[in-house]
Amino acid sequence: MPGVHEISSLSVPSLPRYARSVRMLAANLAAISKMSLEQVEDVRMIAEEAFILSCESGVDMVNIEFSLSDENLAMDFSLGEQDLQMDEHFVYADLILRAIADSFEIEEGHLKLEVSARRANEGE
Amino acid sequence: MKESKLIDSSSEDLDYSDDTYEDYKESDSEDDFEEENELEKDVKPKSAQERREARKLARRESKDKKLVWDKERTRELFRQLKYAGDEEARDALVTSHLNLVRFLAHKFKNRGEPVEDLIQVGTVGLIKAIDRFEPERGLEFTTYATPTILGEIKRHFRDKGWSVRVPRRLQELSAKVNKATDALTQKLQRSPNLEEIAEYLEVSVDEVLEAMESGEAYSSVPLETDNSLNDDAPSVIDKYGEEDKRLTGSDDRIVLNEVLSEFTPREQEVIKLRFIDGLTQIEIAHRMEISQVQVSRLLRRTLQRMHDKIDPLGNLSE
Repeated sequence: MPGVHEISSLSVPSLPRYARSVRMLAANLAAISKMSLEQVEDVRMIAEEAFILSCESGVDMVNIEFSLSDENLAMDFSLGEQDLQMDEHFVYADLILRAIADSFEIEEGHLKLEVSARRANEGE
Repeated sequence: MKESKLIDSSSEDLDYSDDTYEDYKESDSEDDFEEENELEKDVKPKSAQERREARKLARRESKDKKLVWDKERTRELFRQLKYAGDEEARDALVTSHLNLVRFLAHKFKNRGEPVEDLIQVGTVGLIKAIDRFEPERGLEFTTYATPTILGEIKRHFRDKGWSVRVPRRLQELSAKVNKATDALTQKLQRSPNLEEIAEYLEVSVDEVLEAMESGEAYSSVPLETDNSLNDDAPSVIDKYGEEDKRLTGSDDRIVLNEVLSEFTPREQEVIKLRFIDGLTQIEIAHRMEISQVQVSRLLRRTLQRMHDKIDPLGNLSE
């Protein structure tokens, strides 16, 4: 049903070995939304980057809320108090997140991303 | 497109930025996360706080070096390239942004293509971005270049028919996972874990997981349930199977015996234990010293083969 958002959440320790769990759950949710293979791979990629940033921000647990609808998949990652702008990896992560996600913003305590399920120009 | 000398990624022209990228790669990519864990195994375990402090210290030390790409230098190089036609400026732009190409290429490393190839492809994207970039628009070059590099890499996969090949690749990998599991079980005398299977097949754990899932998706409804939580749950064959009078004739018995004779001793044993001795899957697993999941898989496979042999045209099915 258009406009209906289904919420899932995941909470994992901020440890590298949990990156796969985050990545695979995000990819599976994208698949529910009938995203293309390429979009699912994009979702997987940005979920991993966001997870890394969340870990780097100083949280002990990374809390993620996924909001899924026919139109898009939104992800909200918890952020700690460490200033990510000081993180050299942030330079790379910022570039890839802005290039791939349809929407990307950092608010206080949250890193929010959106990937649209319907994209006009998949080829470029 | 203007051609430019492609910089070899191992060229000594590269400066510390190569090391900086390597530092990043070691700490943040998913496989290297695991490598980091491996390295830490032999030392006293650090708390999450200690690890964060160590990373902060490493970042502070690396910040003493210049940024991996100097924005002001990039702007100056573009001025030289666009207005003075300085070809050396193009080479310098390529060199100074190769770490970005490597970072992006590594994001695709588990898709069946060598990373070095992806770096070369990404470098083509970088060169295209350099040629098309218009500094007067006010955008940072890296912001402009990243989608172009990514697009080039993705096009590389599309040109290879990746989106069509992937399901077939996963199907093939699913079969290989089964064989690898059997081989490793024999070798290790226990069920292998996913890391061991991945290493044996030279693929990532992610791919093994995906292959397992695709293996389930591609198989038809199993006659035997793969329910490791409740071995007593009736399987489809228990619910709907009944003695088929058409199979009681001696001719059919001959067919059955012929089919069974083509199976390996292991397959014959599992059929015998299940359907003649009436053991549950867990009991069979214990008897054969394999996992219940492997028993289920074996049964599914052998039953399917039996079905294909006996009734290749599906005449006996509803």
